[in-house]
Formats: sequence, structure tokens, C-alpha cells
Amino acid sequence: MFRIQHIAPSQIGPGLRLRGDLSFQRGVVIGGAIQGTISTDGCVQVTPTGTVYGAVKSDAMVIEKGAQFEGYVTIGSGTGLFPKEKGGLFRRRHQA
Amino acid sequence: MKKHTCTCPHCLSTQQESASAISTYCRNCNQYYKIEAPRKRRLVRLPRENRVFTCQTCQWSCRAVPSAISTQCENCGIYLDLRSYRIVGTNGDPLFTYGSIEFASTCAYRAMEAVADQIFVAGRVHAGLRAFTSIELQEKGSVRGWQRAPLIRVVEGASVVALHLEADVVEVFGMLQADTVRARHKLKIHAGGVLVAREISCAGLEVARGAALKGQIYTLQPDAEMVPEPQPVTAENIVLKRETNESVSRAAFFFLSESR
Repeated sequence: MFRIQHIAPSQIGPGLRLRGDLSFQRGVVIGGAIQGTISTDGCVQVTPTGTVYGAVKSDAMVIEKGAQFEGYVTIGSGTGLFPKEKGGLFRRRHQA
Repeated sequence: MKKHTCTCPHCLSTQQESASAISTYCRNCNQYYKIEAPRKRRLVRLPRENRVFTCQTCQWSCRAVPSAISTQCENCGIYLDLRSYRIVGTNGDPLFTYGSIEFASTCAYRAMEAVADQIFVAGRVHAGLRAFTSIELQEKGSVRGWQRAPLIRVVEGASVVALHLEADVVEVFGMLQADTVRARHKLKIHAGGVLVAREISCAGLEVARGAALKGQIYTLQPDAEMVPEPQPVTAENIVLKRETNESVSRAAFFFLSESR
């Protein structure tokens, strides 16, 4: 016996506009416009017609040429690859 | 000289002949015959292809033999250094070469700018780096300065700190911590690669599963031009700047007067 699983990522087609905090399973392909935070355990793919303004948290990401994106991105936070922060490398030290 | 034995087809007598001979007279019957013995082809060293590079002064495509260490531009006549350098200790000499520069892990280089065809960084560099082909950031490489090249690559296992990177393509296999990264075409982070930057601007982005990225991202239009290089301060530049300032101020004055 086997189970049929929905493994395809969610799709936001061109012309669709969404605003708010969004969460997806198994990734998302964005062809429309999103304003808000996106979090997923898969891949976020922004196609050339896609527009995203907001933060993204995911495991992988692809921004194709022509797409518009602006926001803070955190990818692979579960990998443990990030260096340990000590106040940031290029930030000025707070004066006492 | 190498010799081989050949047999006369008329009298079947044998005699020694040079390996390069193609015909001979038989020493027994004095008949002429062609030597048909299979001769090994002599290995001939093929001439190496000339090195082709572009003069950065006049953008002329120049040629030089691969062993040349310097030449002059065929068009503008400027001196072109073709040597490759390896910086090991403390150094601050200005470098401009059409060869490659390798900053070894033991080096501490401090200068305004280093320009080369290819640059490999494994040591500490406090300078701006400009490469005509590529910059490779290797293990323990540290660059406090801007970097500009068509391709910037951070190799696997490297842990690199850099200030400002600007390239057509940026490929990250290791760990890169930078202030700003600008990839005109594509930014690729391969599995196992890490990029932490304050600001990232790119036309296309590819972050593989198993890679890590943190930073503020802005997308560029695909045809966005690279930031113009800082020009040396000359009298002409100052005059130009003054003119542009005047034109701006005139335009502002005109706009204000119109709005009133």
C-alpha cells in the first residue's frame, strides 16, 4: 500500500495580490504580489512576474531575473551553519 | 643518431640506415630503393597559443607570447605588466598586473588598490581589489575593502570576511560575511555555503537546500549597470562637478520660481 502525498508547492499566479503573514507547506511559487512575511519549510521561488515585499523564512530560495523582491531573508536557520554573532561584524560598538 | 636495419628488395642484403632516411642505395647491388620500414613519428612541440588580453586603458585586444613578462599595448603603447605575483609577508606595494596575484595565508597586504586578471586571497588584505576575470576567496581570507570582478567565488571550507563585493556573478561554497554584496546577474549559494550580509542586491538569486543566507535583499533590474569606478581627482573632474552643480542649482531655482 502506498499513500499519495501532495508534494507540489503552492502556487500564487500572476494577478493575485496577497497581504499579510503567510505560511506554506512544501514551498511556494510566487507569480503574483505578496506584501508581508512568508514562512515555509520548502523553497520560495519568485518568478519574473512575482513581487514580494516582506520577510522570508525558508529552507531554499530562488529569485528569477525580472522578479521584484525587497525584504529580510533568513534561509537555512535549521542548518546550524550561521556563525555565532558577537554584536555583528560591521556594527559600531555601543558606547558606555 | 638512431639507426635501423633495412633490407634491399633486389638482393635481400641488409644494411644500417639512419632512422630519418626515406631512401638509399644498396651497398651490395648498388640499386636504389625506398625504405618502407615503419618510422616512428617524431614528437613535435606545438607552438603554444598566444595570450590574448584587453588593454584596460584603450580596451584594445592585445596579444603576447605566454612566456612574456611585459609588453606594450599595440594601440596606445602603454606598458603592460604580465607577471604573476605571490604576496607572502607584509607588503604595501601598489599592484597593477595582467597576470594573477596570490595573497598567501601568511600575507598582510595594505594598499589603496590591487588590480590583476585573477586574484586569489588567502591572507589579510586591507585594499580594494579589482580583477578582470575573477576573485577567489580562499580559506582564512580577509578583505577589508571593496572587491570588483566579473566573478567572485568563495571556495568550500573558506571562512571569509569582506566589506563590499560587486560582481556579475557571486558564487558561495564556503562562509562569507560581508557588509554589502551586489551581484549584477546572479548570486548563487551552494549547499554548505553561508552568506551573512547587511545588504544584498542582485538580479537573480539561487539558494540551494542545505545552504544558509541572512540579510536584507533588494532585486536589481537585469540591465542595471555596475557602480562607476572612483575616478582620480583631476582638474577636469573638478570643472565637470562644478558645472553639474551649477546646472542642478539652476534647475532647482527654475523649479522654485515656477512653483511660486
